[in-house]
Amino acid sequence: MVTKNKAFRYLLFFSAFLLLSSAVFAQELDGYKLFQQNCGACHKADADYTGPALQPALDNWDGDKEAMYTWVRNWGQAVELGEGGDPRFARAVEVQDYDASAMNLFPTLDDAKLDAIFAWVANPVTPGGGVSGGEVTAPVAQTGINWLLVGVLALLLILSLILARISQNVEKLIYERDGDPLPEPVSLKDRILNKKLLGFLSLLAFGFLGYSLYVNAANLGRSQGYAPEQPIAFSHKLHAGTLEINCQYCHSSAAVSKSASIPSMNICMNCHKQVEAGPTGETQQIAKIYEATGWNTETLAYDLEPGAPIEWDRIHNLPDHVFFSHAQHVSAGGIECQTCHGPVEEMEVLTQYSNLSMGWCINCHRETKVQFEDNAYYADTFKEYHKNVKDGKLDFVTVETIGGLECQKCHY
Amino acid sequence: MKPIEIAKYLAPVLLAVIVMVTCKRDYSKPGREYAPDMAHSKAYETYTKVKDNTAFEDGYTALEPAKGSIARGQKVYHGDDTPEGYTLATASDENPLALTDEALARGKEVYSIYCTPCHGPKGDGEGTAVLGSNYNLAAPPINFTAPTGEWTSGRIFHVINYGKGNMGAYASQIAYDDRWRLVHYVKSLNNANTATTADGSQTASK
Repeated sequence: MVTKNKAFRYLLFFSAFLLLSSAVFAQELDGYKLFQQNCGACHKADADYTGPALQPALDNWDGDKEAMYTWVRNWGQAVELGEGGDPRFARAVEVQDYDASAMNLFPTLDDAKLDAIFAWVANPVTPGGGVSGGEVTAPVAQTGINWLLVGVLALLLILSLILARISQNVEKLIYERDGDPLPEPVSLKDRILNKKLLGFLSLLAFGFLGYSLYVNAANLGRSQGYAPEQPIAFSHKLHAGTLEINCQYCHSSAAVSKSASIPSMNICMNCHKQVEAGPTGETQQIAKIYEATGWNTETLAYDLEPGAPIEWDRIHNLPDHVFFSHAQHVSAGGIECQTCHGPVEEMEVLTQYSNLSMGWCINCHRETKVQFEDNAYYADTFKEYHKNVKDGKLDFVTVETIGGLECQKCHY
Repeated sequence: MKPIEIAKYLAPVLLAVIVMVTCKRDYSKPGREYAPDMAHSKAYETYTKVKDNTAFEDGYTALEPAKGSIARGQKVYHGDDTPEGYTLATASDENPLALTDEALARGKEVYSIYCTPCHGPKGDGEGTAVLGSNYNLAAPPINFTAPTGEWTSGRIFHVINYGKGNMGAYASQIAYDDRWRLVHYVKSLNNANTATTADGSQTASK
């Protein structure tokens, strides 16, 4: 009996540790990411954007989470309930016509996800460091390790060791009280070769391996998180973040072409004719532009022999059998660059943010509502739908409704 | 507690840590691929450098447009990139597009993308890139809200096309008609931030 108990305890301890440590490392399923994916296109935590600032919104709802869940998932329902006299939704009736552009529905966000988003909004710290939009920038651990969890883990570890010790002593006392001889201590070898333990461990290992097989197989060729070292250490954080240069300044064909374009050197030179050093006075990186273009910093003219063009490493790649047009998404769809590319303005080294999988495309096409207002492309192409939305026959039209899930739209 | 006991408890911890740490991906590489034949284009894509590509020099597929070619939907600007061309454009070129609310709105959109880094969101020369970097410019960007009496449409258009002083040329980034719409907007920045549309009504431009 004692052997089994100990083996079980040992096992429990191991699995608890594995689970907890994966919880520590898996903290990436965080409110920030969810916020970026679902809310960031229209909302900011601390400032008005297309939609209102969300921090005051949290306060205005008095922390009534149930009511907020309803509002986020289907604000129309919240308004109905409010108009029906439910006092919890009085706020919904109040705010429903704040802005002309209606909010999307988010039926897929469950309580846990929404809690994560609310928690992030209350304390909007971005993983790259810094509070979004705020004055204060608090450096955040790059690894994303949750130190609170690590602390709790350590505490549990100490506690379990103490308890193990106590139980051992109590057992010993019981044997002594009953006058029974102390059982032979079980050897480490016997403990490890215990059938139940081995069986359970194998099961655990099988499950874990199966899971990682699935995850890794699904990620083949997706290259999410790809962040290669580029020929010039160009910082999007500096250019798009600090200097607030619009994405389309450099990627100027994003609105009119299939390709968002890698800027040619003349676009760099628009500013770097004058700016010869980085913020720390470093000139080596910018000198590479001069070398490639043949710019002479002495005579301020292109009188040198131009070097080889800069070969940037392409990060976002779709397979050959997928058609994707930036123009369609940027100009017709009015999608923010960050919806797919993530917070580029905070990236020192550009990283592939989304996994660019088909499921990811499809989800967005299912959830995104077609914006007919001030949009000649959709309002003219889909007159009937537009009319029905205007007349209130349809609440909204998603990209799916207008054929966004048709195979041939992207595969032909 | 005997050392062997401690080791017994440490073993799973170590195992878990090893599992967690060693399975880290190298993010400087795109990662492994499945069925690369289907993923990589046989045809030359816009920015890929094709090995053994004999069709283009150096294997580059992104080439400069052939000399004298005009992209679809684009128009050619007749002005010359010379001081004479500049004087001529200043004196004689008129905006071919009517001053409408739509033109102004599009002009503003173009302005907010290409001009705000230096000339500022308000057009007062307080550019985001100028303020964001503490770089001392040789000459501050032009303040559009100051009187711009001698700034004819032709002059502004010439400068957008070819650049002037420290400013670069924007013809490669902004479409021809959008450049003229931008001229409308830049002119509207003067005169207390209001502009008069074709029908004589006053439109406030934010």
